[in-house]
Amino acid sequence: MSLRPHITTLLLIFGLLAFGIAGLSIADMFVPRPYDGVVLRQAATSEIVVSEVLPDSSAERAGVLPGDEIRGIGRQALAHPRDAAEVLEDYRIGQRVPYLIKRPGEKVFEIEVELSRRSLGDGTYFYISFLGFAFFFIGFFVLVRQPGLVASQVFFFMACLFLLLLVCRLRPLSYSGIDTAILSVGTGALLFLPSAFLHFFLIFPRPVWLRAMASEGRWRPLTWLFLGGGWPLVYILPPLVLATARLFARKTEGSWLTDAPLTSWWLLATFVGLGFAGLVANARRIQSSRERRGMVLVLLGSVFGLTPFALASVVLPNQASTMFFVLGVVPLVLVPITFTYAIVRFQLLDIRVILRRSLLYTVTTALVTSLYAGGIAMFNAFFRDSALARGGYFPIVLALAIVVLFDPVRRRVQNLIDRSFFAERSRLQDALKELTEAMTAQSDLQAVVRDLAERLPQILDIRFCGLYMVRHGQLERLAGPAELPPRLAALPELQRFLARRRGLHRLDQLGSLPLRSPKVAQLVETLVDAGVESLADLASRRRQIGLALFSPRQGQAPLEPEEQELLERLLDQASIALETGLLLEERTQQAELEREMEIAASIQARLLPDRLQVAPGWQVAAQCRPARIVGGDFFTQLPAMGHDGGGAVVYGDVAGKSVSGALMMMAAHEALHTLSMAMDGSDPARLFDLANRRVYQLGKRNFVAMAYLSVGDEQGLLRYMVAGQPPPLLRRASGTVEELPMVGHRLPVGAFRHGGYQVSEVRLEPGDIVLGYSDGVTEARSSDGDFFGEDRLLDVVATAVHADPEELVREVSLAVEAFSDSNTLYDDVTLVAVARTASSMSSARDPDAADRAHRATGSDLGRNTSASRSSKQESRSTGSTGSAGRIE
Amino acid sequence: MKTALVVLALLLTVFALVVGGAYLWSTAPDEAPWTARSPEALGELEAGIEDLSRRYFRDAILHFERALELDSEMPAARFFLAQIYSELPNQREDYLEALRDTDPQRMNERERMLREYLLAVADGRRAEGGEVVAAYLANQPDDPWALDLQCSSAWLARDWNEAEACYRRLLKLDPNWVDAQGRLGYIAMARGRFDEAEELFRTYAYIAPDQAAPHAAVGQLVTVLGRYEEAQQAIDRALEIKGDFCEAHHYQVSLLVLQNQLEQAMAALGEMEQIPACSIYEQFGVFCGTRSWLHYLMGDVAAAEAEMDATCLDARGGWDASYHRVSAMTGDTQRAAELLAKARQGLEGKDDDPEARTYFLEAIVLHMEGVQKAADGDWATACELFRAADQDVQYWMISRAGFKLRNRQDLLTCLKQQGRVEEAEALVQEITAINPEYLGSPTVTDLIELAGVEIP
Repeated sequence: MSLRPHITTLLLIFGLLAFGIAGLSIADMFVPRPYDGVVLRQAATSEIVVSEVLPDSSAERAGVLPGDEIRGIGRQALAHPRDAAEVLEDYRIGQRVPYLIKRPGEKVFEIEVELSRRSLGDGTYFYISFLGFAFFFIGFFVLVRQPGLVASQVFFFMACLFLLLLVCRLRPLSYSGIDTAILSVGTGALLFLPSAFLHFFLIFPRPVWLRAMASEGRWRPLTWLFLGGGWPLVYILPPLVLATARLFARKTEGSWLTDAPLTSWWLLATFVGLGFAGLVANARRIQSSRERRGMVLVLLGSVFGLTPFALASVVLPNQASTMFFVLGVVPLVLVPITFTYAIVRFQLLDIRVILRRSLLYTVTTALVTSLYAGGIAMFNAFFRDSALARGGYFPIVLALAIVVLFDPVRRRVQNLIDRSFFAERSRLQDALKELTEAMTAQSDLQAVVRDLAERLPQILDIRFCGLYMVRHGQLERLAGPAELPPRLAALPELQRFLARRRGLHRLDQLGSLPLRSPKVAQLVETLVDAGVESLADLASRRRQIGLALFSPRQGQAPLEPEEQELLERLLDQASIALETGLLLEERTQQAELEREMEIAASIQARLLPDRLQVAPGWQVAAQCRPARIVGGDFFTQLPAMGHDGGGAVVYGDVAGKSVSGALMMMAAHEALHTLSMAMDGSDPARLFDLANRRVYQLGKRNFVAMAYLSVGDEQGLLRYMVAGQPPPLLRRASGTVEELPMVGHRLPVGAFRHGGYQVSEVRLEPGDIVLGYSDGVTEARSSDGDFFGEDRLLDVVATAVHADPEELVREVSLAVEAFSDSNTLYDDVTLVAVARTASSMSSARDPDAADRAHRATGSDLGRNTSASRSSKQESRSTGSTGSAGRIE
Repeated sequence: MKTALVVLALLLTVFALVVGGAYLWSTAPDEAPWTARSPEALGELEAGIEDLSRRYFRDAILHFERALELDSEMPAARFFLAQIYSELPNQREDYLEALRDTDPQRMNERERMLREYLLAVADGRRAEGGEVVAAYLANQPDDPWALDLQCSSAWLARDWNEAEACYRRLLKLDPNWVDAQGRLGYIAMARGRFDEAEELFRTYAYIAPDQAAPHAAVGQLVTVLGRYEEAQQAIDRALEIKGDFCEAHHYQVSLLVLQNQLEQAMAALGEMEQIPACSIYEQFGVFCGTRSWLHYLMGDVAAAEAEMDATCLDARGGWDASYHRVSAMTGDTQRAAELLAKARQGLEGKDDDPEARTYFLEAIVLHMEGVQKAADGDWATACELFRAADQDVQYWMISRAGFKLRNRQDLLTCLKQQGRVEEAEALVQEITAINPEYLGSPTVTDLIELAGVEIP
């Protein structure tokens, strides 16, 4: 069973008793008493003589004069001045009391004095009481803050003894019924105070020197006394010494209990001196410079405060004298001041005091104001009738001087307070500002995280700062101790709450949010368990970036408003820095992605043939314009199956866009080519069936809309097969436009397991042109949301000027481009045009002419004409050339 | 830890007991001042003591006797009664006997001391009695009763230095011990420090304004000093407080005599005689003796002689100085010689005992011898005898002061008759310095007439 709690309880009971007795003493002093206004002294020849008659007092009114000998008061002869007070105690205020006076040169005579009211306590006693209670409350505060610390227990005990000594011992005699008891208590306190001093200073703030001596085996009796449990003997020593002195003194006068003999004061002086030596010994062994500074301050305050008191007690036994008060008691105020400052400033005894700067500033302002008011009052008092004060301009000058000087003085005092009490706060604020500025130049995500996770906790003197960032719809921990969850749910309600209120939020100050949202409540509970005290939202204008979590500031004052604001600015800056870092990362990734896409587009473009070669007498042109960097549309040339010497063009439209579409496109493209090479010119329907089977194997939702156009027959036969593409349009030379007839099975390749594709034929006359297109043409949208549609396509085809496939492809492409008004293409656009020329012979006689005529427009493969990296839709288009007249 | 707690608690308990015990011991009241079987008896005793301090002897006697009725063996009551009857051996013996029979174990230490002292003094062992008191005071230096006894011894031995110091010490113990105030006043009177005496008496009167004794003391002082109006006021005040205060009546008579208001003095004496409390004076023949003297002063020698009959003379102890004067001045030498011889007998065997030695009696005898010589015409010897009588008497108490004044007047007459002018002048200065009124209208003129001189 530990003794400490019991000792603390006992001490508190003792303190309560001391407080009560001191209060009783003060009440005794300030209770109005019957008073005559006479100050008595005992002459060398034992007469009781009036040394002073207070002005306007009862005695003055009755005719008592200084120098009169008081023979009797109230029909009682006097032997001692205290007899006077005792006699007056039996009278009431207002009663008339007979006095027997002997005036020099006259005979004794009687007068009556009407007693007036008076309290024994005066300003001096008030000051003494104030000191006593200051000691007491400081000791009480220390004990409450550190009840288990031996040094704080001894300090409280010492403070109580000081209270009793000052309030109960250094007081005028009241001769009331409790006067003797109170004086006895004060004397008793004096008996034990020396030991308390010595004890305290040897163990304050820790018994470092004693422990060192104990470990070295030196000063064994002393170490046993204060560390080994023998401390009660120390407290018995002074009473024993005093009793011995009393017993062996040749002549002792006075009561054992109410009179404090000189021995007591000598003991006090001696023990205090030893205590100082102990404090110095401790201070020299303390490692912490902060504590050492505090101890030095305490030592200085005690030396300059206690030494005059001890010396005056020995040298000036008359403790009621003004000289004793001025020389011995007034300096005592240094002790509580230095103790308080040392505890607050240097956190001695591990006590951290939270000081409100605003409160101190208010007090400072009030003090400065009071000083000014006091100065004005004093000036008025001293110079009231002077010419200076009567001057008309003087009040104005004085007011101006006050106005001019008030604020500088106030600021200087506040600066002093800042340097004395809030130096660490200044450092905190400077560090926050510095970190904030560093953040503004920071774009490295890791550096920002490092600053937040490592530097900020050091600045704020907290254990950790955990950092979470939004990733994949969750909050992932980037920094912080392991006890923080690796992931947290990104709760929109919490984020909205935090976004509305800037800055740091304590977990216990989220309002009703935890009540309204069980998820938030659970999150809060999780964070609390992990040691989080507060959190802050990290967000930019566009999005939430993450959360910053903070552990508590142990023993530190809450952040001041300025510091809160600095921290909010820091977090804002951190959010910006994080956003910048994220954007940089994203951009870097996107740039890489774009690069990859460009490479893919390049590869894809290479898959498209540069030239389309079909049979003589035929012209072909094709164009493929992806909606994005890479697309799902394609066209390619295959051997004309069933047409000797002809050629076939297949154009396709993969389901899906962008990378997936491109990959599918390449798969379909390769499947067609591989199968066509393996089939050795057999049935194109069979080709499509096989391609279908292959594409189907790639998985559901992977299908390709394709169309097959084959020419090579001099009879002008066009064989075609459509699988999912819109029906090609046939424009006759007469200008009519019609769709080619379709067969029943036109499903895209890969949509179903089995094919069943059929080849159709149509005879074309010279000047006829067939246009195949992907649905990207008709599904192109204007800025108003209208579709290009088949009607417009028919119109364009119908109104095309030439029957030149390239021209037709170009006109349709331009029409679509004009319609969409450079708007983002929703789907890839592919156009293939096959036309029968007038004569295949003429083409054969001039192959170059055919080349020139059928050179397709379009940009070369590989040229990247993208307007902007940030645009998801490249405006690049590929074209193909087709050459007519050359039969491969 | 539990053991440590127990040890600490024990230490604290022991300490508290020690401190508390010391405090109680230091502030413990003294043992009961007087033993008594009942509070009522104690109350009567204390009332008697109070009366004693006021010199209301009759009242004191009544209270002490009442106390003895309630507690027949109360030693303190017996002691005080024995003290009061110190001049009446028959009555005193009863109380002494009772004291001897009282079991000392029943008494407290103080009462044992008082008993021992009183018995020693009664047996003529004054010195031993003094040692008893001294031994008691060595252990109880602050006992005011014992100290008072010691002071009284010095007082009776006329050791004014010792008595004054003793009474001052007593006043330090208790500034309001009025008896000490009064005695110091008388000591001051005896030493010629009349201002101081007046202060002491007036302080006495301040402390005890409701007592007649201090006013009477003031009265007799200012009577001696010739301030007869003040004296009358003081005596009137005393009698206003206590109409049957015998001492005040006595002083009244003396005052009237000094003012030559002999008829009024006779009347005042008659009033005093009617007061039951003053019956003790009768036992000593004070009334008849004073009446006799007054008759003589008024010129009625026959009435004076008739008053001083055998009964009165017997009450006076067989002799009377005033009657001797009457006898000497009227030529009855035989009677005068008888009276002188009787007076001389009272001086025998007391030379070695300071307290027993009555300097006043010696002075009276010397004065009587001087009167005799003067009546015989031997003025030279008469002068020497008067001077010798003057040296042993101080101006304390009106009886002694009055005697000294009269003796000095007789000395002055003698010196003038002898033609010793310078000595006479000096003596006149001394007398008028004390009482400027005395020689103005002397009350006793028989020697003056016999010498045929004039007294200024």
